[in-house]
Amino acid sequence: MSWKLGVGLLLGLAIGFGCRWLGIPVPAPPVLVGASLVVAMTSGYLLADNFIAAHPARHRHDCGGPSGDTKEPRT
Amino acid sequence: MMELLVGPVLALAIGAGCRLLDIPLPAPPKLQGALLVLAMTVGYLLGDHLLG
Repeated sequence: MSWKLGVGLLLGLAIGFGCRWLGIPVPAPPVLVGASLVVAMTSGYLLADNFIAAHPARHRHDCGGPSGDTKEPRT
Repeated sequence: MMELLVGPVLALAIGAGCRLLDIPLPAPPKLQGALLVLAMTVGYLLGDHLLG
């Protein structure tokens, strides 16, 4: 764990504590289950990202470009 | 108890679907950002516990 992530987590803790102390709405779900769902959504996004990176499109050259021509260079 | 199982599975599916369909994710796209959200919630709950 890098020190930047550690500082960020401490800052997040301080922001959450300060919001509760000052009575300000916290910019995160105020329930632990909600925050865990945010982490789960990000995990699903990253898992799909890894899947896509490991499985590149094999028939991309068959796909048409903006004009429908399969040999048209893509921008 | 069932909701606690359905929730994370649904959240994982939403995250994966957003990436596969190239839709903006309603959460930070980096794990560090999601952990910051979690840290804010933990700090809020900690303050709630300590302050009353």
